[in-house]
Amino acid sequence: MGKPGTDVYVVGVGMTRFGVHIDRDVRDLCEEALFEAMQDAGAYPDDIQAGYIGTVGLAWDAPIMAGQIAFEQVGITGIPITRVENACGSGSNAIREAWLAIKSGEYDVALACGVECMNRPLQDQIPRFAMFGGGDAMMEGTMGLFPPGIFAMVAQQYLSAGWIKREDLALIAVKNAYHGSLNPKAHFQRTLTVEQVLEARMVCYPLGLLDCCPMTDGAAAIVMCSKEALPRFKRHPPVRIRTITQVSGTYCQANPREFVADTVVRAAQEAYRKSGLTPEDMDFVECHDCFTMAEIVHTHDLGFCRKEDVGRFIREGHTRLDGKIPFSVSGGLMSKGHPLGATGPGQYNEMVLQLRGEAGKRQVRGARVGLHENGGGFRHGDTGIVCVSILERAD
Amino acid sequence: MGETLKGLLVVEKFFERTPGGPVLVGSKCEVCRRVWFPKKKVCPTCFRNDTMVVHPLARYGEIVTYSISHMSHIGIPTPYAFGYVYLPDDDITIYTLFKDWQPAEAKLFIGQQLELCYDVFREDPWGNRIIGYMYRCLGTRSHIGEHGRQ
Repeated sequence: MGKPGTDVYVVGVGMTRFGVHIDRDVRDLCEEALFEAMQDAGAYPDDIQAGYIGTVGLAWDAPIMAGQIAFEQVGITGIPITRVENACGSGSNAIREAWLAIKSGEYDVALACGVECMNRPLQDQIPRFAMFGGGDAMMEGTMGLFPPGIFAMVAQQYLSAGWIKREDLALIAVKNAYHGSLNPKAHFQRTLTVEQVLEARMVCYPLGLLDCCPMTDGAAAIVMCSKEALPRFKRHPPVRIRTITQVSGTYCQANPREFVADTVVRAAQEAYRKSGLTPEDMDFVECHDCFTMAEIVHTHDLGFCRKEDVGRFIREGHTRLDGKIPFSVSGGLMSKGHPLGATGPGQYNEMVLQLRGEAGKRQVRGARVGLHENGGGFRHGDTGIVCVSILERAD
Repeated sequence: MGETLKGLLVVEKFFERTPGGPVLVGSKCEVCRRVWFPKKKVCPTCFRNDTMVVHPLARYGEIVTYSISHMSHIGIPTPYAFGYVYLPDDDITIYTLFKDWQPAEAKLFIGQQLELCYDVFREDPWGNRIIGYMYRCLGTRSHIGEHGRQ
């Protein structure tokens, strides 16, 4: 048994290729991701003391007991298994619950997983999900608000204020498509041009189709352990979780003159404060770039430039793979894909591969500390939930 | 959720028809004076359940931000315009669909003045037309938000 307050490490990662998997269900996708993560760690079912799964539950076999169904596929039964739902942040919430459980001293080894099937034929839930408006079905979803519209409205404010140009949005899509082209597990492995992005079919003005993430299926998993259990898992350089913060929105009714409040800012500042690190200490960022505009917001909300300067910051290429703070080197949600519950654990997969130096052609040179941000949901003009993590190589 | 009125299903939870036109109905705390929409029984600021009164929201506001959707949303014909409206008299920002927003180049801009109205905004899967609140674009720039707006 661990000690209360112990350090927590990621010792195994696994994920399916993200993409369209019409013929695969929750148990099948989870089986691959969980087995790969445990193999990566050198862990066996008896090593796992607690399991957590994040899924919004769009698939027919995810609404109830998704965790028990998934974990049984790889021989994990009998232990506490908890399912977490918090919109697109569900998977990072599952990770955070596992992290807290180990940090409390209750468990030494825990397994966190995320999964979503968004393209299966039985997805008659998809139109209803669109009705949620990202979160608040009663107020906004029934009246035409859906996720692209949220960031389209943010983009309108930034364009109106002169903080960005339309081409800056396209540069995000082009950058993340290039990063995705280097990732064999990404949904899309094609490059884009600014012209292609600008000429794509309009979705929500000013965002076109290529400003939006795809509908993706997939699963991802990570094995975590306490400092006391770390000597049992020696296959890879250990990656330490410095902190994981989680905040909820305060919503624009409480701050009526602002649209999109400071949710990401609060989560990031708390993460910097708790870790004793600053944006200057970060070597790369995996953020919740569900739309091109989302990455632009996160670029300044996570502390890498001022809001007024974010357009120039993007144009100068600082967030490219060869820039001073690469963003979304996995391809991000835009190109790697966004299977809701699997998104957070998928981001963690990338974080760990980068920190181990195992990210292949998209490796950030000398990466030792990385920042992770995963948000979810939207209501009353504000993000519903945001998790921010800081991970570091610890050898 | 709704009541039948002249063959239409009305989402009546959020607004009421009055002789002077439709009004959105929220709550106002008699202690802290904050307004909330939709109605609440407990004031989140004061944490009391005996201070809230039903409050008709201001009829006029201005666009905080907006977009035009070209992607079909269940039962809502495209394109449709939507956004957030700031009601200065109540110091509150709420989501809304827009009416009379075309031509978009002239009518849709941050600061555009708006007036509350109601109309059919979608049909449900059974063909029932759903009435809800909307804000009509008046075609003039508001001076309300010149102070304090980012």
